[in-house]
Amino acid sequence: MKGLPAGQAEELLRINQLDVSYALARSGFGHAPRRTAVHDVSISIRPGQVVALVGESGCGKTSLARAVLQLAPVSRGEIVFRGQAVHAMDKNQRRHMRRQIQFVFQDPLASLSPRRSLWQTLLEPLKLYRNCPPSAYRSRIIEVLEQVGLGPDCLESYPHELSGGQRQRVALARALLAGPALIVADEPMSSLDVSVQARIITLMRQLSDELGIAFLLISHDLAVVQQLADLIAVMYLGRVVEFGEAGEVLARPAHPYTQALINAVAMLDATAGPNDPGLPGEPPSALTPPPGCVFHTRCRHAMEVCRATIPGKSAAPQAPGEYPHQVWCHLWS
Amino acid sequence: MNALSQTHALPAETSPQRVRRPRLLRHSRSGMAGLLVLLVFGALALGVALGAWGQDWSAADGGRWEAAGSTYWFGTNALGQDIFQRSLFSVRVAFEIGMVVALASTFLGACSGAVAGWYAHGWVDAAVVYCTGVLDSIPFYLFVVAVAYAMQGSPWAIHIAMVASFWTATSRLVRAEVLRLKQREFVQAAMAMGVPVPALLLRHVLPNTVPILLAQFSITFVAAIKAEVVLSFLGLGQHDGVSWGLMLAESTQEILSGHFGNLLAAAVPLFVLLLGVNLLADALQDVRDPRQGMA
Amino acid sequence: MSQRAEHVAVSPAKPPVLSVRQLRISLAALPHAPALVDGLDFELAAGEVLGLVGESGCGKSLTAAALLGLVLPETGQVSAAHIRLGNTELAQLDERGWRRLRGRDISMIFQEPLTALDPVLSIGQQLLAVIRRHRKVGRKVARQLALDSLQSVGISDAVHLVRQYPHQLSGGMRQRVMIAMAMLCQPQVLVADEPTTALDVTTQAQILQQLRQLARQTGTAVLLISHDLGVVASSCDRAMVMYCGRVVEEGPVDALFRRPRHPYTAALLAARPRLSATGIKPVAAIPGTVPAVSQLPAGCRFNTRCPQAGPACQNSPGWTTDQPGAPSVHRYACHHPLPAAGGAGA
Repeated sequence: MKGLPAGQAEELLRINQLDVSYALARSGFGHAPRRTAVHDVSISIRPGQVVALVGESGCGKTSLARAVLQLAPVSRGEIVFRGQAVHAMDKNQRRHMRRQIQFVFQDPLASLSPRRSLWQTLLEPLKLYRNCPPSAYRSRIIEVLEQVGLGPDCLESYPHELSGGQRQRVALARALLAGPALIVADEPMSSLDVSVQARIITLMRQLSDELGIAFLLISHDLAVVQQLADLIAVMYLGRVVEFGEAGEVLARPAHPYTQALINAVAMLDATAGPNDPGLPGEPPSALTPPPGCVFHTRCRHAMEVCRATIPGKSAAPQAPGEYPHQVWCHLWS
Repeated sequence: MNALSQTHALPAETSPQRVRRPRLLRHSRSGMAGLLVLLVFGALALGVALGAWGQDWSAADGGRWEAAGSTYWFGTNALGQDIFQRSLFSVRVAFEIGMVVALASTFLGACSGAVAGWYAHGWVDAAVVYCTGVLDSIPFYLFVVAVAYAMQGSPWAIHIAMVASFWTATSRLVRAEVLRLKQREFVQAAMAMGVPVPALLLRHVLPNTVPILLAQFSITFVAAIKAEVVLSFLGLGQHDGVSWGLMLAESTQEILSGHFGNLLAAAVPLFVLLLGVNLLADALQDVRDPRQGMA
Repeated sequence: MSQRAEHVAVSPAKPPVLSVRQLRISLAALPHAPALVDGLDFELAAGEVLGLVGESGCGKSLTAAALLGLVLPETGQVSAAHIRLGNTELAQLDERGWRRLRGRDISMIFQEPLTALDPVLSIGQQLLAVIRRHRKVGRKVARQLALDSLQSVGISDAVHLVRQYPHQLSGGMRQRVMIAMAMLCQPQVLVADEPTTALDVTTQAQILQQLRQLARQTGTAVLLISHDLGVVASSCDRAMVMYCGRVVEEGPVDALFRRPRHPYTAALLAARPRLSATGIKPVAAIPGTVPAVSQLPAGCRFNTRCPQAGPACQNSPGWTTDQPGAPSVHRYACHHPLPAAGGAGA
């Protein structure tokens, strides 16, 4: 485990009881209804750590990432960057924070401006954050391109002329040029082929180990997450249902949903028995989440209490570790 | 930094399918023909504007309805004016109105559309949408008469009336495109980097509306030239100058008596110019967008 | 060539429902490049699920399109010694013949079901349209057929679902509807092109299980195309591994993924991150990159990236097999195969 022990908080980013909600289309008069995508989530990230948000589509992991990037509205709670609440920052501090929180999106072709050459794309962060003298622009760009494993001859190309793996490297290079402390990576592997995935995984691991860059990794793929993450937060319908060190959560999943996820991955790997029933049904609509524990409609352990009350945080049994293994489930309370 | 140097050793992936550069305009025969027409007319118009030729359009030094010959290439009109000179000068008139109206209305449409689309459902957007709605509901020729009357016969009256009626289509198209582009990841990426809004619109959003702007520019160019001809023909446009529209209006009195000089000298170049611009515009739309490089 | 025919992996007891020989697809955009899909041979038995695995651009989706006559002339040129579906020769079929066949004898499901469903028709209307086109049955029977087919893919509330529209359904539900629609006429062959790639893991597992069950019950043979080795390993009987348009190894999934003989299969397995309760298994990237279609190497197409490559690899390898007599043969096209006992390196 990297960073300082949990007690001495040298936190890079803290997310505090955060709600993210979007206004839905108004019908008639009165207040527009809101859809809460993220509910009461608290997570903290230290320098050099890789924290993974895991869950299926619609679980709110992308909304949470977007909130960190100031792209989604925060309706309750706060985001604290280097000890300072984002909503209380002035313009200068906000700019300083923006420079240090960079991002890599799922589809690198979609996230690179189609009509701008790589040179123009990579120049943008340097000009925007003015963190190196103009005379050094070129050498800095070439240096970072080398870090991500690309040669300088690609600078005149346009995004559509590159392969998927190259594009994702360019996206990473753009993020690195800002000199970030944290990179929010939203499904960075899922549009890549297996053989290319492995290289990007290695690259991200190196960036975090050697440059001390923290990652907030959003993924549905537990196998990729295991390769990279120090900490895992499992999300379901906008809530964190389990949190802990990656090894702990994957080896001793406490929440029935985490167990089902791991089970599904194992089943897709043909290692589970052929008669495993899998997880029944589908996630309910996030618009009208069920009362009580949001997972109870699909949980095979669901009890009376699960239908009525939202479970609080409980400690799951764990091997001694630096971080507590937490689970939000009535089975453990 | 040590192990990072290992990444250098990773073989840089070469692109699996390096797509050839987009198909160029010069590969389109009709497009090149259109471009040639436009260049020739452009050169003629420029010559007139610089005073190289076409300056004697008003001099009535010939006889009435003289036949075409070496002095008067297309003959003369009822006042003894040289029809060729008049047609030549009309190229300039047509070009001027086409360019001014197309540039102004495309610019206005792009700016208003971009701002309205970016701040969709805000007050700017509401104002722009309201203006486009109101302007579109006024019949065009009525509007021209009203503006011309209000401006006391100013030579800019028809320009202003046309720009006011033509920018709305561009604005609406650009607004819709910006609404769509705003959702795209590369724009979101620029937002997440904190790129200021004006730079964001100029560098990331508007370049992607260029195909729309090009198409709208050519459509407006053609529409303005046609509208000027119709207005002049009806007596709502040029009064004291000359234009293909006025020549056509004159010719209505003459064809019955067998004088086709005015009619041909106005209709043929008008047709050729509009055809050329349309061919060019079509070809430009076919030229492959760099965005669609890979399937 | 004769050796090739002998080793086609299908049990002699069951006649194949689909038999493909020497399928070649060249790209229209690259007329001078070698054919992308080159010399593809395979057979499908009734009720069997056959996997076709490969990375993007290897020609697997093109192969799927060719089996349904969906390769447009401006995309590519398809040729084959034969493509036989039951007693019909597909290689010589005209567009009218294809239209009669598609949806009735051979059907297809796609990665993104939302684009394949008509947004303005209800699910019921779309199912009925398919039934009316291919089967002469009354309204009542047609309705019952539609409901049955939905129930067969695990939709419990079919009566309610037929009144809904595609946008009201989740991705998993839509893909179920697509499968139900494809299975309506109990086709001999179902081609599934990345059917679960767009879905969540838990839904993927359910749908693959149902697809496999359906194949068993109805006898429809399934060609499952995927980039995901896990998907293929968990739901197929046999699988083919494709690299740059050629099948490099094929066999029963157990043998193929436990004891890969072709270096590419082994490399793919080693590159894939796998979830393991005991700790992180490091991934090994495949060196180099997939060559462009215009720059395919001569001989074995993997020779530019293969750790085993030698001078012999400048010639295209023939098929080799370990157990020639076995009903379902594990065969590979490699001059320097990995040792039979050795693991996958994963």
